[in-house]
Amino acid sequence: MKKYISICSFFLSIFILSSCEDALEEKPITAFSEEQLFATEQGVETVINGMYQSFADPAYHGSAYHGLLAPISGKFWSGQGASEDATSLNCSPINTWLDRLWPQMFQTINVANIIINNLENTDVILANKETSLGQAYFIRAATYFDLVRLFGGVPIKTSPSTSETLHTARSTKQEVYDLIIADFEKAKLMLPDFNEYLADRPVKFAANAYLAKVYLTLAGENNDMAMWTAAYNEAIQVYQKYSLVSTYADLFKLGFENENSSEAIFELQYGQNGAVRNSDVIRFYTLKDFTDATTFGRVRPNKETFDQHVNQYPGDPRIDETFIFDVYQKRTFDNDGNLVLVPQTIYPTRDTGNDGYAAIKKYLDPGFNGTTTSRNFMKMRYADVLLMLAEIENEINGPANAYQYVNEVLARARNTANGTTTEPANFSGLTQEEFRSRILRERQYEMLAEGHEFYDTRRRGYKYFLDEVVTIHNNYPTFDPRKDFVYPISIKNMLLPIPSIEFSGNRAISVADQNPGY
Amino acid sequence: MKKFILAILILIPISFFAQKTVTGVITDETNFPLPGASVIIKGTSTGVVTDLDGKFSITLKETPATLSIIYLGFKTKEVVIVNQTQITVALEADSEQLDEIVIIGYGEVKKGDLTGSVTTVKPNKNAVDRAQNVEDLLQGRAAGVQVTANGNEPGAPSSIKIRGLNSLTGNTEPLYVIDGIIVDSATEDTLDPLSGGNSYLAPQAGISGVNPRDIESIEVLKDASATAIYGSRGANGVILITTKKGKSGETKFSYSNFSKVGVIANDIEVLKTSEYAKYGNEVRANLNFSPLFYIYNDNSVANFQNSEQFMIDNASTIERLEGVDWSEDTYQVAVTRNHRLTASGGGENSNYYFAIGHLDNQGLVPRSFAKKTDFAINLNNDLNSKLKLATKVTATYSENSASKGTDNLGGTNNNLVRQIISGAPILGFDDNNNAGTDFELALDGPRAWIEDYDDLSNETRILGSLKLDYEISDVFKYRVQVGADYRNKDRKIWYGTGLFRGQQVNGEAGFSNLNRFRYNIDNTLMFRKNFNRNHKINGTVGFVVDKSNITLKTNQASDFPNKDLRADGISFGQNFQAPFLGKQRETILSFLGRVNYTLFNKYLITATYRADGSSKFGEGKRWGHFPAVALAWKMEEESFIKNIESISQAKLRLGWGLTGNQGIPNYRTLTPFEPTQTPYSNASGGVASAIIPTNLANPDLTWETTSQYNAGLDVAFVNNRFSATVDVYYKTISDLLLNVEIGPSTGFENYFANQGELINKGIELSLSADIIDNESFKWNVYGNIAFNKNKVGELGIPPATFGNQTYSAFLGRQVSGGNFFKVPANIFIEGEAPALFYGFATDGIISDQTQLSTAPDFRGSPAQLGDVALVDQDGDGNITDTDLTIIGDPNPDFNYGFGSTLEYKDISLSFFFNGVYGNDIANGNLLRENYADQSTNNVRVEAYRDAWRPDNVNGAYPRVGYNIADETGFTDRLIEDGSFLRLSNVSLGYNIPVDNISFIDNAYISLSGQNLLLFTNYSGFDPEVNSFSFDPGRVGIDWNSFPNQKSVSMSLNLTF
Repeated sequence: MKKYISICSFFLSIFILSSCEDALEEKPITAFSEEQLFATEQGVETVINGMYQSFADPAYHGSAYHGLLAPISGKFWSGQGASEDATSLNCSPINTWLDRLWPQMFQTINVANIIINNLENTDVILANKETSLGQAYFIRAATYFDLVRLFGGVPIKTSPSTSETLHTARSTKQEVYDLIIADFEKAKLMLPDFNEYLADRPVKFAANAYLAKVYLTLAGENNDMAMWTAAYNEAIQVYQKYSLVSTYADLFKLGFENENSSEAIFELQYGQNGAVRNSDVIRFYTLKDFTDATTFGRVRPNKETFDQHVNQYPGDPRIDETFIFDVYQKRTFDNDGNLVLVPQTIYPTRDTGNDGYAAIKKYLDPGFNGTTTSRNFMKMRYADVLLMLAEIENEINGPANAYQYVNEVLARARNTANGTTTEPANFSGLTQEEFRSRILRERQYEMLAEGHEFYDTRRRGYKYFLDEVVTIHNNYPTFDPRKDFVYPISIKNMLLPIPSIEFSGNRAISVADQNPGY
Repeated sequence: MKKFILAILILIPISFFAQKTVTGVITDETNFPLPGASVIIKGTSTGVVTDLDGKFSITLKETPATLSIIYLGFKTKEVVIVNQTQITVALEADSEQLDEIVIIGYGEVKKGDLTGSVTTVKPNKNAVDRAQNVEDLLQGRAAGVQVTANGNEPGAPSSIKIRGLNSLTGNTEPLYVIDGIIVDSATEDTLDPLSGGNSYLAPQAGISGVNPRDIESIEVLKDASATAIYGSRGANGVILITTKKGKSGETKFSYSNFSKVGVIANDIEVLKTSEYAKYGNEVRANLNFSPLFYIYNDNSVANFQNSEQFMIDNASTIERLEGVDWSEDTYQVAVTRNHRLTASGGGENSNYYFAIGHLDNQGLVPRSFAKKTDFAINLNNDLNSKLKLATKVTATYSENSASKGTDNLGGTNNNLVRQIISGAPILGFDDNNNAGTDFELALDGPRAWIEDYDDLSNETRILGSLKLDYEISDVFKYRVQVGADYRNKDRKIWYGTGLFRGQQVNGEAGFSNLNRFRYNIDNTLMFRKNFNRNHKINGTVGFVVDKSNITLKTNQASDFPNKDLRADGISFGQNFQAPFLGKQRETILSFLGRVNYTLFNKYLITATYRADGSSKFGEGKRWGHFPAVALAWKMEEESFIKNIESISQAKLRLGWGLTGNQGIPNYRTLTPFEPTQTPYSNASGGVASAIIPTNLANPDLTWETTSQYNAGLDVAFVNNRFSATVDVYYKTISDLLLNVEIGPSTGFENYFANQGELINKGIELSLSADIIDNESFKWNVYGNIAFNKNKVGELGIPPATFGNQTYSAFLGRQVSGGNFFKVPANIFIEGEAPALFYGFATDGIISDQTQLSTAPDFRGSPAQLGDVALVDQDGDGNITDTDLTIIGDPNPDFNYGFGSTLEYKDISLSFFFNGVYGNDIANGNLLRENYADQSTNNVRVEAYRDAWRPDNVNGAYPRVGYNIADETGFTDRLIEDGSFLRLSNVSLGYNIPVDNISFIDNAYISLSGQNLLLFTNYSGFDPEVNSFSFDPGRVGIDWNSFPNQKSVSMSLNLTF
């Protein structure tokens, strides 16, 4: 009897000994808490890396940015059935890429907010506090700058999301720009100078360059002279802080010794780490069977996009570095299973089917293994700043002092490993108006498929967009409406639609707040 | 308490006896008086009823006379009176009668004393033979219990819903308790080891760990008074499973063998090769492209070259394309075999039951299978007169090869069934024709899937329990029970280079492991006391600990120079993903108590209380309190009914109670920081460890609470030959635990919150009749039907615009992450039925210029002739999100089951029908099958033949080349009526006479057919489908479902 009572009491005592509340306290075992990470410098660095990775993720710069923005810019054609709506400039609020891009942009902002919130309210002494804050403000501003240009006024989040702050109304475009400018101003003060921190991270001049672009964008639509001046003041800070690499071809050479060059202002880092896809840029642009790597080659420059460059600068070395055209060697297997190279014609030699469009050559990566690439993405490079300076100077004072900037870019473009060419010839003898239209197009020639087309075709206003994109495309001599898309004349294409998923989850926004035309 | 009892005693009127006659007392075996027993003079209609003290007095006209003493639940006894004037008769309980013992939570009760709504399912032989899992035994058998298959492939789990949609959490499944061991429901599985790309693994398993053949009985606890003792876990209902035990006596062996062959049921008819070629050419012609194929008069097809004349001139030399019918090429006869051997017996103080079995189920698709080997041991020992020990162990080893039947993200490429239906019916088509096109459109072909894809899993599951009962005194019994459920499952995935995904990366392998140990320790003290003849009280108090330790691991690699080892060669990859390790701990502590009080053996009261603390909630929110109370009135004990001989039972039950639900993932009140899928890189391409938060914390999370009222009536007539049970209920589920979709502007797309309320009300009816019941001929008919109405209660969400209406509402989850159906299909509107379908209404096809002139644009693009006519709800001439509206209701009006068993001597015949009425199904597969949009995918015959054309303006389907079905997302063209009636089973059995075979006691053979008849208008494979049955945000959707089979089976059972 006693024996049994002792057995019973043994079981009962197990639980009575320890308090119930303690027994119910369970914490993640295989994950970190915020407190743990922000207690050490290394911990903070890993969250900073997390912020950059969010920015570089396939859902943002790794894939969605290209899959959506290239075709909807009106300068590219995409063979992707799933995103046909965007390719035809009728972007649906449930577009495949849009559904990934928008959440990822805000995820990046939230991570930046977590860093800012922790570092601004900590008593822990961390040597990397200022550098970290600078980077967080920089990335938050860079992301909002993309957001405001793509969607107009968006919800502003400046603190980490909590269950109390789920629903946020759209702010005005102006409010978003105010935040962007304030953040870049902070970043300018907090970011390190050259050689003070990691070689691949933006330094304070990157914030100047971004601010220049912010003001230039604000100036563009209404030709606001105060803004042009502000843009000039920022851009000129960056002048000669970076330098162009010697040839255009060097910019796109693989290998980390060519990356993060003297021309790189802000470059996203990709490496072949892990077995999950880190970027789809290679597959998007590289022709199938062009290399051993399995790629789609689904995003192609429009016929007019290619022709514009060739007609402007026949023999420009940049054409060979930018496009695959006329004919290429297609890798295929003969009946015995041996690899053979078969010439395959492509635009402009061929004009129907997928290869009725030329292809982009900038993102070749023979080392691509189907999932990861080590090719970095240049979010901003020095040539962009020089072209901005040229555009700004032309708006403020006319062409006279603007030539130097653009011609520096053109001079580099004429450099090849085998000497210099005659084209692209320098700008000269232009009126202010001619200069303006040439410089805008020059950005396309220099930076095609580097993520600028959507912004550059919209920032000078609706009329400019219609003239530069819609009219040219729909009236192109070889255009066949059954094989290519007729671009609609609609104000909606000045912005992307806010994705439907935001309306269904954010109670402070209703469908009535959708962008015009959608 | 004593005072109370005294008070009642005083109120009891004292009986007076008259006349000098025979008097006596009727008691049970324990000398407890039985009030209300009938004492009848045999051969007459004269009789009396015992009073509250069990006493009676009867006047006899003559002696000797025989008195029959009849009392429900006891064996009738006859006493011959010669000259006795006073007798005492002790009746023996009749265990075969109504008062069978029913297992309830933490105890058991005589069936007659039940106060809650409990349905007992005693599996019959035929049902058990063909059942492969527990869920099969319940299908259609219990009113208010709806079983839906997540898929029909081997090993696919089923989902059970008791009394409608109970919750919107990830877990709407009832709690399973097998012999006191709390068992996880089917929602738990390994992680998908392949983190990148559009892959998703269908859930597997279900309630493994118990073989249907070992089940003695299943009790389904439906109302709150029955489930409240499980408090935290009882909100979705509780299914208690009792396994077989040995019986005293010599060892009995039994062997059963079951074989089944099945073929595909309701295949979908798509275009054959030559017509497909014609369709391809038509699409191209509409685009002003030259034809792709040339179709000869003999229907052979060749690639088109040069010109029509060239094709005709060179007909003899031009190579023809090889056509294929993918359905014929792929589906095979499914074969299932099952063997089982059991041994049972026992002595005075112990009994035992052993079982060992093997199941081999080969699916409709080559290489898909489910295999299971299991053994079970049940031992019961009386250690001494006061101490009893029950030991139970079952171990199951299962292997599964899945054929990718259900797929969440739904690229055409990710699903074998999709390939069979939509694949071009030409061998090698994609190699030659889709080079360079988009991968979402390309098809790998079913053969590639069969040869180059593996989804293999193996699992070991051990259930064990030790139960020690100690009789402290006549009143108190202490029980300690330790139950453990251990699962270790490995799942491996392989994509070879024959598949697009594998070819992209030169082979891809993934391994995933789930290791979980759950145990519960129940300490219960039971008491039973009869204070006076009229007052019986019994109950339970207890303390329960329930703990789980879960470890999840995944490994992923790609780029394999040597691929022969497939996933097993994962170490030979050249590209590795960082391994994932996730550990979780979960604890629930509970205090529980229950008191049953019986007054006059007529009035029963049960009061239950349970307090649960869950580690899933934050401090201050952890404890939930769940009381319940129920009353029952055994009217058959009342004199006014007692005299109606034909009524053998009439019991009225009333109950109310609270139950809780905490079925959300762990750690949702916190924000864990975890590595990103891919790390960031440093300037030299090396790893830079990158960490981000993985979810949005909600520190306010707390219990979801269900309040349920139930009223029930059990009646039985003519010695229970005819019985009926009716229950009505009304339940309100508040503080619903939801994975709420939030604006991605928060940085997250959803988070867990308590939001809203669901109201379910319904009525359930079960009937059973032994119409003929004699020695040689028995005929039983039974049936049940359950009506349930659901409503979304107060949501606490400010009204917002949905379409052109304003409601307080929220949307379900996006159906697919692929190109088709990438929108939510369900909407939950305050005051409406939950999960209504929300999409675009349509009105046929735009067939002529008049219709075209008034047709709205679609998101700014003008309509064309032959487009689907979308209804412009707000009349602004443009179809946008403001034109979304309610287009269907997935909630059934009722579901029902009925069957019959006929036994004549040694032959028996039984059949069983089940059905559902009044629900809509969103058949997402029609987005591909019913739109002749582009030539790479095959389509249903009618979608092509009856497409709108200038010469077929009344065509019911849109024009060939209509390609915005993916962009319109969800229209009412996908909505179909899901009502059906199925002859689920018909069996013919024969008891082989074995009297002259000395070593065989019993031999039974049966032949059955399953799913032989199906009455439905549903055009998909099977209307009993719910592709996301474990996701309450995606309700009533058929998405790449796997076909069902029609099958015949034979089984043999021997006892020796």
